[in-house]
Parts: sequence; structure tokens; C-alpha cells
Amino acid sequence: MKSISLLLVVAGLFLSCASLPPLHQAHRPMSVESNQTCQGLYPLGEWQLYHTIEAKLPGRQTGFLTGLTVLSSRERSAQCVIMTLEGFVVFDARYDGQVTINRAVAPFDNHAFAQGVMADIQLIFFKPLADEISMGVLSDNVPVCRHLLPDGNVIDLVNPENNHWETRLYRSNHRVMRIVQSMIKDKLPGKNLTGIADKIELTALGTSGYTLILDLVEAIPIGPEDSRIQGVE
Amino acid sequence: MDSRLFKARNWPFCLIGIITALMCLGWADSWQGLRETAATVSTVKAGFVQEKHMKILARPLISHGNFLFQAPDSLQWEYTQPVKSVLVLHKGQTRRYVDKEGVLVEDATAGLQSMQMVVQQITQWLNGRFDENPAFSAVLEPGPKIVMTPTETALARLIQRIEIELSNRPAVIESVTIYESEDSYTRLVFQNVTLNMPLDDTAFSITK
Repeated sequence: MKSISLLLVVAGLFLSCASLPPLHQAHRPMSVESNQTCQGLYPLGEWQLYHTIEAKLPGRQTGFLTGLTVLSSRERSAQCVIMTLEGFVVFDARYDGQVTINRAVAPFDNHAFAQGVMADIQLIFFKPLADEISMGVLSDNVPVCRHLLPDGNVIDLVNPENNHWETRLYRSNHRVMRIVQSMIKDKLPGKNLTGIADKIELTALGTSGYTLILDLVEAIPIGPEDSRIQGVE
Repeated sequence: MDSRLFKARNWPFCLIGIITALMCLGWADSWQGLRETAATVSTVKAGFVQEKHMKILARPLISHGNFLFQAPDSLQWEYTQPVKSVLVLHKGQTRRYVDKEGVLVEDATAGLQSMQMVVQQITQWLNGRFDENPAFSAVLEPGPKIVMTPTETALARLIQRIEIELSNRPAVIESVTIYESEDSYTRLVFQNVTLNMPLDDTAFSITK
């Protein structure tokens, strides 16, 4: 029993001492604006996005839902509606600096869930608001754009290959909390007109971790066109 | 052609037409009429178009699919576009499968429980039993249309009302509109309805 406790303490110490992957100087230094890695796969302007969601939950349960997200990159606001595949709304909430739940059916009817959904939406769809951005490459020479957030968390935007970005969210203690893979797979009509990812995989790490796989069904531009062309945020 | 001869020769057809029209008017005049007509139906096959309307939508979400029912309680609700999935109620079990890159994967979450309630409700309607669920009060209106309103507050928070438009063709439902609120509703319009076509035993089994 003592040895298990000791093992847990050592493991805890080890985890609390986690560190960010080291950032190496890139061969060709460039500005954040001209660095492709720092641009990410973020929808610019106002969009209505419709996804299928495959949710892999603790206990090896897999569920399927659809998600409708209406977002504005300029306002950094989003309304999220989660539906069954048959179109019944089980969750409807809005984020515009704070979370407002319009409708929620069990088991989606708690504020922590709504907060979590909106945090995931911000991580997936909005460029990080960073105090400081540094660029470089990881040890495997993959370009990375590191964002130091006001709350001490860190977001690494990694660009392992063309049309594929990986977002890693680290807590202030440098333990990784979320990994998001965003990619463009197919050049289908109505999709990817402005670099919107058509496949997104979010993995939440931890004891109650989960994985969400979002496949883009439809992306409809809404609002003024200039906000998308000029990349206004 | 002699117009009197024409009329005389065709009066049996006219009579059949009038009787059919009366049947059509009659089948949806009362709960008893609905039940009796539904009892003559053993299977229903139809296509459907589903429109999801919500205030935030730039345009409604449109889905297409097929619908299969065998009395008393087997039902297959299949979406072909834009997301391929199929919900099956057969031998008391509800299962949902989703197409993932060409492979059907079973959905095993608790979210399915609410759909089980919905499909059971639909099979009740297809058996002509619109007024037997105590969770709803049902009113038969001219149209013919059935308006179902939740009787319990908890359910009323989820569904404001359900409107079922009946076809003039006996035993056929034309559309179902489920209002979650005044500006958020789902409308299913049924097309190419075929009644009493023979189905084999494998009709409700899913080949993965």
C-alpha cells in the first residue's frame, strides 16, 4: 500500500513538472502575419457551420450527434445547437463573452457542460488571443506558433503538413489539456472556400477525457462578404 | 357521342368516385375512424424530406430519407442525405447506425433513449392511436389535421406541439411538424407512400 502511495506521489510530482516542448529557432525567421503556421484553419467572418459529431466518451461509449455553429470571428461570439441525427435539439447555447443556455435536455442540461462546449468551440474556431507569440520549430523540425495566453495557459499551433494543423492547449503548469487536429481532406463544392477545416478531431485529456470527431457537412457564409475576403477579425 | 349515353355508361365510375371521396372525408373524421382505417394497413413505405427551421439558420437544414413501417411495431427511419444513418425499432429494441466512411457503426449512447420514446410514439400514430398517449392531449381538426399538445410541463419545455397533417388518401400521413418553439420546428413531408406492400423478414435487419 505504501509503495503504491509513493508511486502516486512520484507520478504526481512528475506530471506537475511537465514542460512545454522546446522551441527551436526557425531557419527563416518571419512575422506572425506572414507565417502560415500562425494563420491556422480558422473561419474568418460570419459562418453557419453544420457538422456531424462522433463523440467517444469515457467507458468506450460512442455517440453520434449533429452540431450547428453560427459564429463571428470579429465578435468572437458563437451560438451552438446540438441535435440528434433526426434533428431534435438537445442543447442550444450562446457565447458572447459569457454563456447563455437557451435550451438543454438531459444529460446536456448543466452549466459545466455548456462552459466546456463553448471553451472547445473557442479553441477550435477562434484564433488565440495571446499576450505574446513566438515562432519556431519543434525538435522534429515541424513549424510551431506558440501563444502565451493572459491566464497563463499556452496554445501551440503546429503545422505538420499542408492543410493540417494541430492545436495543443497546455495549462499554466504545462500539462497538455486539449489536442485539436484540423484538416482539409476534400475540395468539395460548398466547402473549404475560405480554408475551413472539413475534419476536426478534438481530444480532451484527463480522467474524464473524451474525443469529438467533427465532419463538416455544410458551411454557409453569412453576414458581409468583405469580412471574409479581408480576413477581418 | 351522346352525352346522356356517356353519363349512363360512366355512372358506376362516378359512384365509385363519390364513395371514395366520402371514405376519404370519413377516415379522418373521428378517432374511431382513424383506428379502423389504420387497422387495414400492414406496411407503409415512403420517402421523406425533412426541413429543420431555426431562427439562427441562414437557410433551413434539409435532409432526405426513407421510411418503412410494418404493423404492429417495426419501424425503420433512414436518412440518406446529408448524413447517412438509420434508426430501427424492431422486436422491442431501438438501434441506430451511422455511416462512417462506408461502414455502419452502432450508436450506443444514452441519447438513444429519447429517440426510443419518439419512434414508439410514431408507431402508435401509424396504428391510428393518436389519442392514447397520456403525455399529449390530441385534437382532431379540419384539414384534416391532428394537433398534439403536451400535458406535462417537463415535456412542454421540449415540445410545444406536434401537428400531423393527414392525407385525403386513407391511412396516409402527409406531414408531421414538431414545434420546439414558434421559430424552431422540424417538418417531415412524406412522399411516394406505398401501403400494404409485402415485406420479407430481413426488411428490418441491418447489414453492417
